[in-house]
Amino acid sequence: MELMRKLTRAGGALAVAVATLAVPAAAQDWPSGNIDLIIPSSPGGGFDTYGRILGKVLGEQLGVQIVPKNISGGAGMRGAQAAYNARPDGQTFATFNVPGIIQPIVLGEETGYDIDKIDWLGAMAFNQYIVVVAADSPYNTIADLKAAGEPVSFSAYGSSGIAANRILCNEVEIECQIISGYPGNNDALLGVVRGDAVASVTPINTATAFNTAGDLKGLLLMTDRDVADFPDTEKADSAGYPALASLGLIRAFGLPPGVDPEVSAAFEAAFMKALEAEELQQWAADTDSQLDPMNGDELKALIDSQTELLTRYKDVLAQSN
Amino acid sequence: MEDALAHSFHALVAGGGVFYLAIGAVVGLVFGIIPGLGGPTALALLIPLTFGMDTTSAMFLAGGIMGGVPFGGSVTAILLNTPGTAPNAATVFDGYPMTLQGRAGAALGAAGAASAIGGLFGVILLLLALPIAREVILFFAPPEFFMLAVLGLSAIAVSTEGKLLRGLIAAGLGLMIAFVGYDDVGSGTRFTYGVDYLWDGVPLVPTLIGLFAVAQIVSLYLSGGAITKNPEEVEVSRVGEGVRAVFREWPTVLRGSSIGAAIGAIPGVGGTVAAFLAYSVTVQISDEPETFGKGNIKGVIAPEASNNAREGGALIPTLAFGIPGSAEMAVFLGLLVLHGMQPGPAVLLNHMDVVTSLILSLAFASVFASVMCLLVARQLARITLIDVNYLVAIILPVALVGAYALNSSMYDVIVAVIFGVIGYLMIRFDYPRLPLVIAMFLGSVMEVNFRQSLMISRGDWTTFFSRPVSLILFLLIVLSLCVPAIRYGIRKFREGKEQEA
Repeated sequence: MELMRKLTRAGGALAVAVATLAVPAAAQDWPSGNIDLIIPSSPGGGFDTYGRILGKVLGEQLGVQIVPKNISGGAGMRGAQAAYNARPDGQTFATFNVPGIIQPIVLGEETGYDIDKIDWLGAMAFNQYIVVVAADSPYNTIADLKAAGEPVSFSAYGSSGIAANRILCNEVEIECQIISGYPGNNDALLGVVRGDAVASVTPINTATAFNTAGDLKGLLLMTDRDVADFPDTEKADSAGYPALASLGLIRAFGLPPGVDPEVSAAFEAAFMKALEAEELQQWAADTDSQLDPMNGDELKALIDSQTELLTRYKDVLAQSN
Repeated sequence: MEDALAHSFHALVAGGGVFYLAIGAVVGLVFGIIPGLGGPTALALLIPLTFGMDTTSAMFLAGGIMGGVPFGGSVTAILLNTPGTAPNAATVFDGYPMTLQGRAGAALGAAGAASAIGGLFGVILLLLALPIAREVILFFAPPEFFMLAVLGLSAIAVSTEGKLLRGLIAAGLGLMIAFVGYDDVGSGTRFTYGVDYLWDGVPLVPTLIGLFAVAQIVSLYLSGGAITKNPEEVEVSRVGEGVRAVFREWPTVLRGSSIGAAIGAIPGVGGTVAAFLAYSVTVQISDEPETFGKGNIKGVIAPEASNNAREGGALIPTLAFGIPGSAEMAVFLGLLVLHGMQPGPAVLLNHMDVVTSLILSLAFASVFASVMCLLVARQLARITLIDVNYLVAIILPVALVGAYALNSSMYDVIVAVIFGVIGYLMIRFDYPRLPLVIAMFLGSVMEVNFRQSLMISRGDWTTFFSRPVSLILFLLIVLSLCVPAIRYGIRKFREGKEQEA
């Protein structure tokens, strides 16, 4: 009898143990070791810097190593593809180049990923644009530029940059000529300073960092926020172009499709917590890097409104330069 | 500025700077020696390690790496005909022939001493140029970049003496490869045939690994024996001779360093061009151009001096405008940002101590890395006495792992293997490989800036000749293309006279 009871008890314990094993204890077990972070650009750029600093803070909070993997190419598309096809076990997440990864979809190109299926964690920053000219330029407002009476040249970097410049010109109805091919945003701004082009649509934080010597003058902030370094520059809303405020580079983070919802929720919570970390705030303050913490749902809404704007200008974007 | 210098010097001596500098220089040397791994990889790996360090120490570490890599890359260029990093490609012209003649020690000595002096010179130039850097940089716009790229391409004419047609064929192939991938100006992809991997073009580093490391080792294996065919002739102890040659040939050192620092400071052209230009100018103004490519020690000194001087020059646009002058500087820029510095004119005003630390560490790292390597140069030179069968087993895996390590991409390894086959065929049928590399590297720089120039001028091609700097560069191109022909003519004329006499 005694033996029987022992056996039953053991059996029961075993059953409980098996049951515990069988239930996917994914959320408690996450993270189960080092986490890979796919960065869709080569080391050194904005996406890389944001990704690495987040990886460091998040890794410290979770007690694991976040291993950055740079997969650059195709305006963020190669990184996005790698992230999309990564194993959905919560041990790989990625930063996505938005709108770089939306643009090919809008243009009807084969991309190998579906933006609606990406499990968005949130975003670190939303870098909106500003229209700048050289400090000694005769143009002082966007209206001056519109009234120039001849095509205005704009310098642009990358496909997102060309798109931003084109959309501005169409929204404001400026006849413009885009000078593309610059290897970076700073190069495009240097082009404005040395007179390659009259103006440029560039991320606000790039313009702020570049402008420490006062080489540039802001004509239109494509945002409704106050920007300390361009206090007198007209904003999108008051100038009558509110749609321009939805344009911008989003430092977005997400998981491949198919991650266990519990793991995904735990990941998103950890992501949001990392964004509040003092170290990250301090870094942002020290480097003038923008931080606009956004959760997954807010990010999704922003991506939808960008997609809408880009779709509206599909034909403009499809023009070759 | 003196305060900042004093502060940096104190940090170097008392604050553990020497320690970080030494580690950086050793890492740089190793990464330079292994084909495929170079400054960008070393710096990228190091970024996370510097999180916990203060900025000055991080600068010493980074400076050590940037000072150590160029000399490391010259070691394999000289001993194995395989440039460790792209800018070392020009060193193989005369470095490897010296090895074949058993003068590897002298070549290494010359490369080491030239690197050290070049590095110091670059730093001095950097210090002098900081106040006027802005103005100089603003002089260079797309028409000037285009002319610089063409000037670099005209180096092909020099590097193929005697094999001009074959050189042009190789260069044509390089240009064709250069246009594969994303078109920065028109935003679309070209010649990718639906292969995603080709979106960013054929990557330069795996190509270099294939063309040089893989092809060379296959060719060596097939010919058997050791690299130096007559071991009894080898005098590996001639390191001192190489060092002395550098001091004897000081005009070559100064010329190489100046070209390196100047080209390095111009964003968008890069150090590879600097080394080639330093080499080709040296050949062109020499009294005995026919001795180059056959083991003339000046052919090692000029590009190596240029390589280390370039780092100092490349810091100027990186710091002053946040525009990286090279791939290495792009990664370095990320490091600066992580340490709370936004590059731009303000860095020079607000973070002078950091800038001087970096300058100091660059200067010391060049010297440190060179001295260290000179100490082991004798042993390194002995590599050329080893039976090639053993070398193959080491170099082939290291080269292919190097190709993989860059982006953790198997495709990069495939590219290295394909170019290994192409490279071997080129050796076998006596086509020079360097024109292919120069053209591949400069093709896109040339094309983008040509199209940009015409966009800016709205289709007016006189823009290339109406701008003073662009015009000067154009005249230099004409000159560099004419010099060999004129020289040939003079020689014929003299020979004719001698015969008459």
